[in-house]
Amino acid sequence: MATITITLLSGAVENENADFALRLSRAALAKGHKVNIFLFGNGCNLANKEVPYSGDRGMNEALTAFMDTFRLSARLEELTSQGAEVATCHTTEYARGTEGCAYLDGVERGNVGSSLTKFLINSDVAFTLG
Amino acid sequence: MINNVGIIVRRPVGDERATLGIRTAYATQVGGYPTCLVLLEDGVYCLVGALPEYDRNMINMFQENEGRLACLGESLEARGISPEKLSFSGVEILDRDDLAELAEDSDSLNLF
Repeated sequence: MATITITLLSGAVENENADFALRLSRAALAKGHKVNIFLFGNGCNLANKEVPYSGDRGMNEALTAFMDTFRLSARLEELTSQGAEVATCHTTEYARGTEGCAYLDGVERGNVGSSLTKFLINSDVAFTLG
Repeated sequence: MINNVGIIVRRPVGDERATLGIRTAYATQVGGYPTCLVLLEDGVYCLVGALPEYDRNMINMFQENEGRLACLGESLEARGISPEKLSFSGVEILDRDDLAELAEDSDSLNLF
């Protein structure tokens, strides 16, 4: 079994890379591989718990359903519950003003110098997406 | 097992991904993975002119730690940049075959 490290540079909405990264990770875990994900740049936008709006959003059902396809929090937490290791870059969070926001379950605060290089130690495959 | 890393930066100065690529190259080089940082396409703009201090320092520190710094010659040529105008010394000028060889030799190839 292999250990795969994905450095994800894209957020959930700007393209399909984040969606692809999570699908690939799920498939790899299902095959018994180990998965590390490093959330870097816009990828760090996936790290935080959602903050729901409590008022009337003014979105119809079709629009809500469409926008729901971009929300990846539950899928990322599902991966961490299955053993995926996920770390985020606090520096890129800082640039986005999200450094103090709560993390999804299983997501760890990190940085490229320690988290990513730690992931690489046991990795068989490592690449960027984004 | 990953023993060495290739980092390719295609983004120009001002795009966060350029800085993230340079930063990652420094981190992997210092972390014990011999790293080649290749600037190509608009990424070659990271090697000329007035750079943000952080980017310049990262590239300098990458080289000081024996990181291999390279760029694609045709990307320079396409942008009218002569190798003499590069802000850093010791930059390897690669052609496509060199780049293919580097990709083949890299245990992990990362595109920024």
